[in-house]
Amino acid sequence: MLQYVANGIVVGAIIAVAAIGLTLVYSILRLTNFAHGDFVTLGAYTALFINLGLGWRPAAALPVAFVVGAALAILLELLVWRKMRQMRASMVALIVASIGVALALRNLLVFFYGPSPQNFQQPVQRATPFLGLPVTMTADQQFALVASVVLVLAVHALLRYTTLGKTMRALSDNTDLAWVSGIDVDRVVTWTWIIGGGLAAVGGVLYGMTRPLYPELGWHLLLPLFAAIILGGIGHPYGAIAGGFLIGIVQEVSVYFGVPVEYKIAVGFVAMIVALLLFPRGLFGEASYR
Amino acid sequence: MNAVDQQDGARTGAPAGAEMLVMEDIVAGYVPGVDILQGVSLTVRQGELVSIIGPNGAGKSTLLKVLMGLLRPRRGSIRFQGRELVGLKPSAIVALGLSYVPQVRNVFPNLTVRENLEIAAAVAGPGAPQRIQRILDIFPDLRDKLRSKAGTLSGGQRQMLAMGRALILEPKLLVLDEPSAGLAPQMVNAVFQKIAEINEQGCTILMIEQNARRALEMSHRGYVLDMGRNAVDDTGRALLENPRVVELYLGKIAQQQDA
Repeated sequence: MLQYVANGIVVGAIIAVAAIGLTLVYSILRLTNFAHGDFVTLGAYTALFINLGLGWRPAAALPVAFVVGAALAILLELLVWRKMRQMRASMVALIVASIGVALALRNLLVFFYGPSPQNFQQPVQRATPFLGLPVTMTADQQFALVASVVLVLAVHALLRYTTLGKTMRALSDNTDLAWVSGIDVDRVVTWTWIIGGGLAAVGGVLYGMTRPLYPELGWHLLLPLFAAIILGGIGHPYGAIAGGFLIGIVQEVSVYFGVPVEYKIAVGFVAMIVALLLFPRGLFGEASYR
Repeated sequence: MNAVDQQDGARTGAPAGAEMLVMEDIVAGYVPGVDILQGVSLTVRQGELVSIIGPNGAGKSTLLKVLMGLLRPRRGSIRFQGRELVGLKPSAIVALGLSYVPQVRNVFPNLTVRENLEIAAAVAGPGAPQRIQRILDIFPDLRDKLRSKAGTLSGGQRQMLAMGRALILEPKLLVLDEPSAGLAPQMVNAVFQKIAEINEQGCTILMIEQNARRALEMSHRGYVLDMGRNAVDDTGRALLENPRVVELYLGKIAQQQDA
């Protein structure tokens, strides 16, 4: 049982890292970004490219993946999202555009890497006890867990203590007021994309350390990501973190109770629905003022 | 334009300052084909307190949104100290020395009072702690509330925070949209008194006010807007004594206040 909880925490931590960007972009831009999952895939394949091409360990590719994810996010902000905002595009138009971006990214990866699953090339790892607890994890799982927790704490510090983070929260409260308070909203939005896109790509590398890579990886991960941010209260970064861990743990623990592995994703959604029946605005949704 | 002429404490003439803000022939609207503003012009001189009054739907708030760059006018020009503002981002307009307090939703509710002031202070430049101290000296009621979320403040405290947020930028021109709206009568007096003090310390002010009589009494000059056009403009005192203005725009409010 503990072992399943531990597996769930690893999965949950990775979901949390990837979900932060999705919820930040929603809260600041009111954009439900269906291309977010493909940033996760892009990160994983960036690490694969470096791993196969240069022989680096996937963990060493994390900073590169962050930069690639952030750069693509900025590019799309300049080419697509900023223009659509200026034209005051409707929410539905933005969603459809994001699905288009998602398809383009995914098929680009299929074009270069083919549709079949691939693995990082590295020595086989044995699961070892983690921190003296009665659970075992591979070195990569341990790394993914620690890296996720560090990133989550870093995002917390950013939002709570830095001017940029406070400004990002201000923007999610009221964009027009942010503009007339003298804040250059376009600049803060760009930083939001850097953080969101970069973290999604990093989440992809961590995810790839624990299972095979395939071009639909991010697309399939998108549903648990949405489940996590809706569970937490959409637009609340802390909700996304809590939701990510909850979804991950519930999924993995369900296997312990005899749920077939192929259905464990569904269990995550059942958990989300039950939680929303109890907390209709999400776990963190009630503490919001208008 | 007019000589300074103080009577009965009401300010009747404009300080002889240079033209600071000139809005000319502004046409604007939200929906294609519908012009809320149909050619409004307005001038504010250095050191003045200027009020815009008029019935609901006259386009007063829309005029301020156009001024601050939140809504692009279809026609017309806005010059602030000689610089054209039309086409600039709102943040660039603020950087030139304008600061704006909207009527509603004028604080960031999920940020604490301190965080609200901090992000404004960060925009203003270095010396944030001193800037925040200065605002707390002007609005001492905020001191006890620094760690509260702005969304939990009372109407009056919220208005003080919104004005504090705007003043922290040390604006040349403070733009206020109905600063007394929704406040208890006691708070209304306090807010008007603060506005008069801020103006006396040299900050030029342009404000919209529903409480027209009170606003005109303390203003150097006033503009009456109606149906998206300039109806009348004159000194505050002259508008108060203008029978047409009294009948059309002040009568009802005066009755309400007497009742």
